[in-house]
Amino acid sequence: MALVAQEILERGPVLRSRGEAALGAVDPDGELVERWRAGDEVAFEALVRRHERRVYRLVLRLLGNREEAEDVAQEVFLNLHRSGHRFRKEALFSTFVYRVAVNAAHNRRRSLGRLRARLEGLTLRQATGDDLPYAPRGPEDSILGGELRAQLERGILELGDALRTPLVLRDIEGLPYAEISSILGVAEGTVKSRIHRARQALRRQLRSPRDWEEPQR
Amino acid sequence: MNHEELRRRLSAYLEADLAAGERARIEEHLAGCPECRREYLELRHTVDLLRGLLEPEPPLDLAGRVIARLREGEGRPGVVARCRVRVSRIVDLPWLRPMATVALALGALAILRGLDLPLEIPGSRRSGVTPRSEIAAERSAGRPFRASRSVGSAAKPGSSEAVPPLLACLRAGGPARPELGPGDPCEHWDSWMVGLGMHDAPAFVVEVEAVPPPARERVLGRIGDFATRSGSAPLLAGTLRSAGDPRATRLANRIERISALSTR
Repeated sequence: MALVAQEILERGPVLRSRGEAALGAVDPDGELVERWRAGDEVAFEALVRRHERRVYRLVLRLLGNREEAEDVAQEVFLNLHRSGHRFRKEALFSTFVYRVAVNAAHNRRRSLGRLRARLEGLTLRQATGDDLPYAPRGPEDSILGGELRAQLERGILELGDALRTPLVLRDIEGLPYAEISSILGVAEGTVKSRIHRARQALRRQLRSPRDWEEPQR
Repeated sequence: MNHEELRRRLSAYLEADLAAGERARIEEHLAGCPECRREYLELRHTVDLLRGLLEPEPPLDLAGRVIARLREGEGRPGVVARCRVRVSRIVDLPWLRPMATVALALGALAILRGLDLPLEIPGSRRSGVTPRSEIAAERSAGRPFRASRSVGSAAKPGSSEAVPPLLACLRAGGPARPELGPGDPCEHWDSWMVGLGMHDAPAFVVEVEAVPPPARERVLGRIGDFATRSGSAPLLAGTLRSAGDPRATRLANRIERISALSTR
């Protein structure tokens, strides 16, 4: 017990999200967006190349199906091109991109039907075993079995949209709470509470006595 | 801090999103409670796992396929959106913004006036009574007061009527003359006034007060009678009262009394 308490105090509670960006910073896409709005289509193509990874990654996490994700990712960029005049520069362009992507993924899920999408995702995962690939990121991750990661992926897909989306945006995309609040159009407090509920749901799914034993002397 | 309270705050603790005092209380609780400590470690491990997931690679040349579709004409904004984009390119110029705002406001004003809608701007001079000197100046210049209003030969209850006929009536000696035969410029004065009162209470007050006091009672009687006959007395009185001007309120009371007497 003493060791655990010591670990908590030494390691500290802070979990840094990856790529956390500060709101209010200068928009790194600002120049390209300006050129695009002035009629330069090449600038928009540069924006597509710059954001393709994050859009694809997000919609894949939200949909759990590669084919659907690719289709939706393409639609996201076509929608962005179509509705770019709505971007008002009050937020970062990347926030606008995330918002369009989240809406497109939610619409696709709705059109597929939640149950069908879930079943499709599960079936595909069971059949191929690789629709959501991951590889060890470090020593800690490398000792985790594939089963645990598969459980985690399954758990994410089984969450409802309201919990899964903020969880993915925070813990996988590494966005700050304020940006998530802006993307989803809900209060920051609501975002935090949903993320906590999502994490708790995943924790309960992953829980097994073998995995969570306290470190022993 | 009890167990339930602590569990609700675990994510905030993980993200160091707590004040020092609360963090210390949580750490104290965790140090003495194996069950909560286990939950904390589970939660922390879950988040670690989530943050360690590999970023899936996008399909080869996803961007290329999007760009090809764009070049084929997909994703083009509709006509309305294209117009918006062009307008926004102009309006977005900082020095043009104030001018654009004024132009939009003037456009809206012109449309509303064209539709003959009441324009009450709180706090503006129009929400109060127009100075008599201004009306006198308009009249002496031969311009009809509020000449933008539409002109009709006969009044319809509830509609605003033209001021040019009012001016003609005034030139002919005013509405207070005892006998107004057919074709007299003041023949429809009472109906015009009812329309004006329901449309523009401050202007109504000015017009009534322009009538010299000895004849004003007779004039008010005509207005009240017409309003009663046309069934518009309650609306007229209500509009006058809502102007928030004591003179308009007094006229509203007067018209209601006339209306009550006429219906007995």
